[in-house]
Amino acid sequence: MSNTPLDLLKLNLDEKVYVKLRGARSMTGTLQAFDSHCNIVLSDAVETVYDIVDGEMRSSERSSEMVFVRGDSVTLITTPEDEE
Amino acid sequence: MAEILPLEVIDKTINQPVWIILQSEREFTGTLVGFDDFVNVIIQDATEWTTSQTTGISEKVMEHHGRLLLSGNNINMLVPGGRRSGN
Amino acid sequence: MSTVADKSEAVSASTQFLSDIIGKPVYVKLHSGMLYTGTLESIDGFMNIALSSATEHYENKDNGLINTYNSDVFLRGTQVMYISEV
Repeated sequence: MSNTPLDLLKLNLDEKVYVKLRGARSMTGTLQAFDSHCNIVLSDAVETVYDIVDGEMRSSERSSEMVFVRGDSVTLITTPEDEE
Repeated sequence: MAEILPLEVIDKTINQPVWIILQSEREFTGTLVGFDDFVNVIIQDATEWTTSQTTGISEKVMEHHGRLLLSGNNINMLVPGGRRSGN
Repeated sequence: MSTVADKSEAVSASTQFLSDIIGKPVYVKLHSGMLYTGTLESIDGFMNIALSSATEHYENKDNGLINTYNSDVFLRGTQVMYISEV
């Protein structure tokens, strides 16, 4: 196969990405680097953490200029919808 | 006594009903049509179940038509002959 | 008796399956229970998967649509429970 899934991810380098993480978390940011373990580096990243307080869905955000995300927690990577 | 390799047992189950139990509370039934050295398995027309470990009651999650490649990573048991009655 | 030849035939059973379903509509379920359906663009030996026109549901399609993805979705192989023909 010429284009493996990881090859296709290269097309997202230097582009905005949406990354779903384990445990109801997600991040958006600019994809600076990744490897075959899905360790990734994002710049201008915003992490969103969802939780349920008194039966209501809440979310909180935090921003970082540059962040390393360990591949373990990554479940999905795509382009954020508002970038279409 | 003839020595039987575990993978031979799986090989003999090909084209037979199979019942596969994962490490989580999830099971699959269907016809085993293939497998590889990692015990990734291919099931034809699989039915996917979740089974409560406390009550033992199974609930159907969905029926699959065609082939399903199940990752061997989280397979706990593979039962030739399909689901045992009384479960 | 199982032979080495039998085994290599079995190995090609799963690689054969993967090459058969490239470009076809598939379901992919992750260990979290999230179910993705879309067109299989690419898959590798680690079960890393790329889907196009993907939608996201929880456990089965009868449960409501959670998300629609307009661009390719990359799913990490270690999180994949299964991939099946639609």
